[in-house]
Amino acid sequence: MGRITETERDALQEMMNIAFGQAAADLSEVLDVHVVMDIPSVSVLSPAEVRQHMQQSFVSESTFSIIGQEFGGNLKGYSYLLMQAEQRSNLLRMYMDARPGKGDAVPEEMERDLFMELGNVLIGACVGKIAEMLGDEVRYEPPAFHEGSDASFMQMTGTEGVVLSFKTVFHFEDNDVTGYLFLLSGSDDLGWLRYAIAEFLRPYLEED
Amino acid sequence: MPKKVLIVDDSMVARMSVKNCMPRDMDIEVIEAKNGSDGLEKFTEHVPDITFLDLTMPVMNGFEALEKMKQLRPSAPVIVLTADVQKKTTEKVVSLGADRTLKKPPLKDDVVAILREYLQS
Repeated sequence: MGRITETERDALQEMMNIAFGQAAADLSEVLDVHVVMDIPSVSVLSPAEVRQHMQQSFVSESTFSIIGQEFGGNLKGYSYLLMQAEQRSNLLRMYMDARPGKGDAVPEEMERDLFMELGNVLIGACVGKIAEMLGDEVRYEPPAFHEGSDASFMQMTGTEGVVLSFKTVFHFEDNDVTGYLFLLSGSDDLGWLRYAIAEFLRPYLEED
Repeated sequence: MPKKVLIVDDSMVARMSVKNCMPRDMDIEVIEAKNGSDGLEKFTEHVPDITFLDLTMPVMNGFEALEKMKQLRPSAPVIVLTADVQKKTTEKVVSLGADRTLKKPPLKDDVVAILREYLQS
């Protein structure tokens, strides 16, 4: 399996931290709620390990709502936002409370659309910022909605080479909502990524 | 005698990004810490002239470290350097005594301006 150095992994982790920080700020504006960020993690996996890696986020036998979105550029892969289905309602209530007409009931069919839209905002801000820091530009496929209690919805399992997993867990302060955000980027060759990381680090390494 | 700058961040790359901003015309000794707990120990041991502090860290986060640092030395300048740019986060760190907040990744001009303001006055 391809390898990255500890410095490269640290750089990717810091990029995820910066990208999710921006995405959280965008989301907190939309929802008028404070997003508490956990420390992001970056793992290098074989395609066969990805589903197991993701499965660890499925706690108890809860049903999860999942937004999946494919992105492509030099950085390419899939991003997933996972949230327990019952917490999705809390998230949408927060969203509705932040808008005029506060207190109105949220129609069932609207829940899914809103969840997809929020997932789209979060994923777009996060993937876009990481791509920008890597000097890349990505295109997005439309997001897709899934519901389930395991990671069987996952794609990428047939990918050759290695998979980089960026994972962050977040919570909404004073609300019982926890979300899991995964960015999975598959690559047959880490050459471009290593070059892009080196470019990102160059300003920090160069002498005046 | 060099001015002491403490950088507290779990990311080596983030610490490096601050270190690289240090102006060459200033006599600066950099001290590094990998989490809030480590940062608090070095804050006590080295008595830094200024501290750059991340928020999202293992063992002890930056909020707790900031609160304790300000209890120990209320006048010690502590600059929060974070990716968390939410308004409520900024309000919280200001209420805990942060002297300034900087968004990650830091701009060299901003870091230099802060160092000149706090270390040369």
